[in-house]
Amino acid sequence: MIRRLNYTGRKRIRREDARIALLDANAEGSRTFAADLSLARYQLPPDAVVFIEAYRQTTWRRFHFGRVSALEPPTDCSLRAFGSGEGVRFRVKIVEKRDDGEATLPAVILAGADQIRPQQETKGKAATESLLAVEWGNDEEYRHIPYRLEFGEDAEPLLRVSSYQVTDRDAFVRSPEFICLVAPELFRAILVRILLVDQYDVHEGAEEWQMLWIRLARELPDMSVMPSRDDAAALDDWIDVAVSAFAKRIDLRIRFAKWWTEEAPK
Amino acid sequence: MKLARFNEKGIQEFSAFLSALSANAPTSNPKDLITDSNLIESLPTSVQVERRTFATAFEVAKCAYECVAATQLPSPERDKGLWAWLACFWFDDVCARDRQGSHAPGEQAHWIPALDEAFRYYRHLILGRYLVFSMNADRPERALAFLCQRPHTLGHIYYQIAARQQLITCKAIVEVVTELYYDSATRALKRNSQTYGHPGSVFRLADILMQLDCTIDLHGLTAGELLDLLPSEFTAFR
Repeated sequence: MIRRLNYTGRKRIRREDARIALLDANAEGSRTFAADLSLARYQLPPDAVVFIEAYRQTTWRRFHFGRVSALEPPTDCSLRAFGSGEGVRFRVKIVEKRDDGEATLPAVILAGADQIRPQQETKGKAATESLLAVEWGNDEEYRHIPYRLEFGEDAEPLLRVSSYQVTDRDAFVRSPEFICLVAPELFRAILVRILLVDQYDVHEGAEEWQMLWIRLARELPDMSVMPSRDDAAALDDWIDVAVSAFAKRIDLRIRFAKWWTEEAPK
Repeated sequence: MKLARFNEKGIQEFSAFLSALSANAPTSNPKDLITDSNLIESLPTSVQVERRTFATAFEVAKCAYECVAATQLPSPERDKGLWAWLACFWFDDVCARDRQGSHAPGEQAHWIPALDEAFRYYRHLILGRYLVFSMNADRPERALAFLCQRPHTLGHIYYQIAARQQLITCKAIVEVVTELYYDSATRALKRNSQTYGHPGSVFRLADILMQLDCTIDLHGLTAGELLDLLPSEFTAFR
């Protein structure tokens, strides 16, 4: 795990305090969004300006949401530049404008949250796509390791695949070797991170990435009720059961037997 | 010819063509792929596109921008089949050649866009330039540092800045990069602008911008204000 040190003084806005939902298409056919921001706990200057930025690849739009003391969504939150809205992510920035009496100084970022996935899309994603994002690993260390599971600060887990060693990333994560030998342990590592390391406090209605993984585990066959977060030993056992159920769900026994008997180098 | 998009099979065939070409064993001709009715889909709006001799990436970007704008597609930048087809159509005009004059296509992401890969989508030789151009469509000259090279050359300026979404989407940054590194007299990039380790090179600029981005609202700055924030090592390029 990469531990990130924050020397900027910038406050990190928690996901539960910056909820964004994609709404259905408006009259002109483009998606819009609504934001639910709770900034009271961050003790920000009341005059600081609140921006929400929508982005995807090189498409970027900034929306002015008023000031910390008086949040005011713009009248037009249309995402027309993003078409269907597929793949759009959001960033919240709290910015303070300064001047030294003579000149205006660059505005500083006081607080922020990045890579916010809109709720409606998150629901769809949970049902249809992998929860685990996969990216290339281009750093020097990836010359020596084929993949690594990364947990950024307050960011969802990310599987990085070495661009030095792997030419087809999708083929790599779909390979029987990966599915049989790696996938269950990735699932375990993510649950351990959420429940034992971060001791995540379950929010039933939340669409945070942690809740999506917990829901995935809970909905596996034969899962018992999840123990409370104070009982680490019981949670550890529950994670073992979840990994086993996950293996059952993806027919791991059959996949492994096929790979081991027919494909694995002897 | 009428602009079209590849269907899934068309993308696979184009991918197979690129793989075979990279292995020096070409099995098909791109001209056959773009007209094969089993491999393509027509677009809702009929748009004509022509073969061109492109001197620079700017010309590629401008031409793609005009064609794609005419299609009136709601999210053309997400249309993988469209960009793959366009890359195949202009293959001869855009593809690099080796010393023997043979095609040297490079990685597949140059031709078939890796749309969901944040660190590769921009490498597409047509889509990547289109995105830079369209983002600066109000004044495309602002992005000349990214678009002045030959169509098949991406270059370090492109890789260092375009790879970082928070940098390439900032018009002030795009303008500063052009101001620093593009020589309007020679219509080329300035010497040492892409030299790793050279003071004031784009490698240093990217590092400094990423550092500033942690604390300063870069999107709220003008190009002039941003230039004033840069340390003295960039003076030689101003």
